[in-house]
Amino acid sequence: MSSITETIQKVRYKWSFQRAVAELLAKRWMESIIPFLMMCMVLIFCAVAIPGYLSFSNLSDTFSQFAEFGFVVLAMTLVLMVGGIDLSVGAMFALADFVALVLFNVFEIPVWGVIPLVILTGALMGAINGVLIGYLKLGAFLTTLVTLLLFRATFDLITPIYAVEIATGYQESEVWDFIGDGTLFGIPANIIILIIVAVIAHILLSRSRPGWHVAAIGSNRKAARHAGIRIDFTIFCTYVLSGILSATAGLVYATRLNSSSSNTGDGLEVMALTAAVLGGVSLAGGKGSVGRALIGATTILVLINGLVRLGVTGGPTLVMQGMIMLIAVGIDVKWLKNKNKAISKIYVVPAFLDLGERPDARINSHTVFEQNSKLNNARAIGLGTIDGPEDVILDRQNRLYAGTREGWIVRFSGDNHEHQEVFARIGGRPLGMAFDAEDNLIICIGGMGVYGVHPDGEVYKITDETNRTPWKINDDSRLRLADDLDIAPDGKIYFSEATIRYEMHSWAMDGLEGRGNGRLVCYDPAKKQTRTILRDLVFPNGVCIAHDGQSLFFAQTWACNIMQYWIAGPNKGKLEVAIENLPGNPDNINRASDGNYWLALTGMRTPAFDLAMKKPGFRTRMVKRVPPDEWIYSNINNGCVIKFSGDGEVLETYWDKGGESHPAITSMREHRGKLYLGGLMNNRIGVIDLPDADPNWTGPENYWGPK
Amino acid sequence: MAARWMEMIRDIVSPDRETHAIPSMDGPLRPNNRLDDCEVILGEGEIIKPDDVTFGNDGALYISSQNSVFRHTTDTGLVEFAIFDSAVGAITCLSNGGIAVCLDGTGVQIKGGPMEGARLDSVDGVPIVCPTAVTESDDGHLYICQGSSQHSASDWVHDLMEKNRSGRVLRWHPEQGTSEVLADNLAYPNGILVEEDGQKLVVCESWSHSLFRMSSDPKVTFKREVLIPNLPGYPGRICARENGGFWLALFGMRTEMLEFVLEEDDYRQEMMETIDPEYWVRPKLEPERHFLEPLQGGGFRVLGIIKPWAPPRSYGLVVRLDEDFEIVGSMHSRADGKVHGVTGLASWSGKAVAAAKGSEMVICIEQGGQ
Repeated sequence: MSSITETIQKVRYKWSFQRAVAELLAKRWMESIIPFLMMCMVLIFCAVAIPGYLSFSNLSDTFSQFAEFGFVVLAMTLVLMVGGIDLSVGAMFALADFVALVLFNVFEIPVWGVIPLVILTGALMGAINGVLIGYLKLGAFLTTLVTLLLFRATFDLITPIYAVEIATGYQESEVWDFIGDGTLFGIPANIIILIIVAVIAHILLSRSRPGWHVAAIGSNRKAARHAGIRIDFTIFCTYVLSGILSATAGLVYATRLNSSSSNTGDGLEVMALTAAVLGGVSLAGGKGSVGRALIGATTILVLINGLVRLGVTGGPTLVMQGMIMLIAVGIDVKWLKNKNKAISKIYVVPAFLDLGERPDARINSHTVFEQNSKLNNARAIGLGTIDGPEDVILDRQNRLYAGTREGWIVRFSGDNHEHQEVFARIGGRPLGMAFDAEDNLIICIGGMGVYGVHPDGEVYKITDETNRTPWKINDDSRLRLADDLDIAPDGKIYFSEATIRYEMHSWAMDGLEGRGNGRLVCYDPAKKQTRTILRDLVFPNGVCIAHDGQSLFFAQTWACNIMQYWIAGPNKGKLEVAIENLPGNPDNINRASDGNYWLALTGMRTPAFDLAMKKPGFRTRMVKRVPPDEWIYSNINNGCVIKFSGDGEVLETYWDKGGESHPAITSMREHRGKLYLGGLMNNRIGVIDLPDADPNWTGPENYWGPK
Repeated sequence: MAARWMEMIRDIVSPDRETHAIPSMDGPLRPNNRLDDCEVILGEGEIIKPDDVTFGNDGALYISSQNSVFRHTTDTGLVEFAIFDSAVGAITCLSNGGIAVCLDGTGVQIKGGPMEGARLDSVDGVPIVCPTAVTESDDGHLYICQGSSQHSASDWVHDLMEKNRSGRVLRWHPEQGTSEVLADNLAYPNGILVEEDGQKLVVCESWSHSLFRMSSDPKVTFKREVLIPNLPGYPGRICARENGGFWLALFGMRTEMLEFVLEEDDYRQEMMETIDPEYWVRPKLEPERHFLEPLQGGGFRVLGIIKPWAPPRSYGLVVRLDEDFEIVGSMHSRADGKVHGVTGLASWSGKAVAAAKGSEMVICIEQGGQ
């Protein structure tokens, strides 16, 4: 391929529109983006089609109708979220309207008495639904259909009795009138009430235990029951609340119009249902919010209002409403159900990555990387009793620590490390480790952040978030995959976060992407502050403070290079490539006793995979069409450890040829003339003798001096 | 790109059409370890890359290995029978006492018997660079598969990756000196069998993973009948089983990744141009596991073991067919097994023997009809 096409490829795949779309879609608030756009379209349509629609008088007129409808939609949303439906909202609305007028106009009860009584009426009507559905477990649809008929019939029976008295009776009340058509700062009073109720409802639904219970029951009733949620009571409460909200709507309606007629609240339940579903409240339960309910309510109200103003009334309006409902339900089913599938189809966005000529490491290649069998006879520690020691470390007492897949820190002691115990149970996926000056074990935990363990085994959190990158769509403040760390002489903890787009269990996907998704982060214990220092790194992995404490080395796994970053001294802030073009994917870096550094190569680059890294389109199609177990990766079924000098010169290579006992070596630690080997997916820790090494050298002493 | 769109449209229009997707290994193809459990006749170090096996009229076992043909009996052990200038592939013992030998890059030659030294180098002016299988019929005709006209048999993987269809089925009568082309434009014919009546041939076409039946006489033509349309691997040699039915060797397995690479022309082209064939995404006979070979996710060594279900780069599979060419049984050596790349099969007197070229073994797959 010519270099021009390669450059074009590089640029083309550096920024990805598709990635932005995928990340946007993954946002929870994106679920209401379609309803929101629909609302905007309806508003624009009305503004364009109807002259004077945006005038203040028209808007405030429409708004004053909005309040009562908004309450009813909220009521409907609440029961939809718990997995039910309430068809009796319209009838309850009408009865509440009637009760309010009778109490106020006929019996002349003061406003402060009317309000609680009307709300109590609503609560009672809701309680009937609640008992039948929540406790007697009757079907929500049929039950509320029946109560709809009951309430409506009651309303029809008693309305004629008081009709004349309602119309003629009158009581002077400023509060009543204020609720009906008063304004505060130009906003209708009833809208203010709605806003207050909506804010309370929003906090209740999204930020409180009862609200979570509602969503949990709606999502999966059985699971909610197993989790110990009181289903009967919660369902009962939602119907009571639905009654109260409907009654509030009736009350507001009564104060506004001071009238009650036989068709009050007729068909309101269908309108409310349409609005809720249109706003993105799922009919299947569990999904919805106050915001969505109000978006749906606005859309429907503006549309119907607009149609009336355009001269469309009666039948055609209903047909229109029906059509919209159909579309909304279609979107509800198709979009919400398949959203995650759509995201997973486009989430992996491979980039162009040219790794250059691979150094030859084959036998008889006579290079420093030449394959040998130096690790093939490594003695196994904890064979078969340890699951995935990603990193290993030894303390001053020669005890050996390793983090395992179970989320434990396992400790081996004894002359041959034959005694095994669980030192600490942290959870997550323990990865890189280091001892600080006080002999606390500091650990990067994949999925959690950075944690510490006191010498007595007590676990404490150090940090789990850093500053958010302003221009990134994905919220990257949480640490997803803290990978390896080291501690500078001043106590600052420098750690790498391998990727911000994938989790511990899907790290390999990041390799297929080959994009700069990782970062280098620093925790300052003096200020108790976590700050990102380098961004857009290609799977930063091992971190090691240089022997002089002025710089640190870190490995970029997919880029197959080692970077050096100065953290102190005259070069502070300088970033440089220390070693380029490794024959494999570098993992952890640790100090060696002779002033050099150990580096683990997890996987070896293969020609077929290197070629695939230059073909983003190929990898994209591979991810879509080939099952994950068949995707190609670097060859991690080999063990390889190299030693390099502070100048970036590779000095020695240790291979486990064939990788039968130590494939995918992710870390190594030198201690008293021995080298200990860890592997992310292995069932043992290996140890070999280093005949030329200093037999008294230990890591903790080298870092923090003798104790 | 256009082809992919067409494929999508076809998927929508007729979702149930024959797509030749890799069939799942189920029913009679259900994986087992039977090949690994077989009795080893010649093991590691005793024979180098055995390609084909055949029984002589005296019951001795002849084995082709590199440039030689060996003769093996329980009394004498392994004795070199003949040596040639190029690698020996398929061999078959003739009724008149000779052996027909396929020589890679050269053609077919007869060793021993009255026709000693007879050779067939080309038919219709096209040299036989890739003879892959040979068999004799009762009337003295030899039926020969020529896998490719572009590559020799040792370069079979190039032929696969180029998706060539340049194979032929040939007929040769050494005594009469006549030769004809029976079929051409085949996707690597790699195994051949004359049916009992002598009128029909069964041919294994590797790259189309199928078996078909055709006329053995160029004058009598009938429509080719596909016997097995879609195998999960690449069929190689086939032989009649003493107690009825047939043995079929599948020397390599199809994997989703391999099929994908076969469709990705741009990637495959560059792979073939720039990478050593050993390290391609490809099926292989040898279970070598070199560190430069591409590794698939399911093949990661986890907790010290490679899963038997790992996507196979090399595999061992012998399939038993009944008289109607229905698959009735199979013997496997899975991803973690030790008998990979079975290329040769022979059956005689209730006994069946297989040559695993990949793992360099000769094993006994059936003893006394068991």
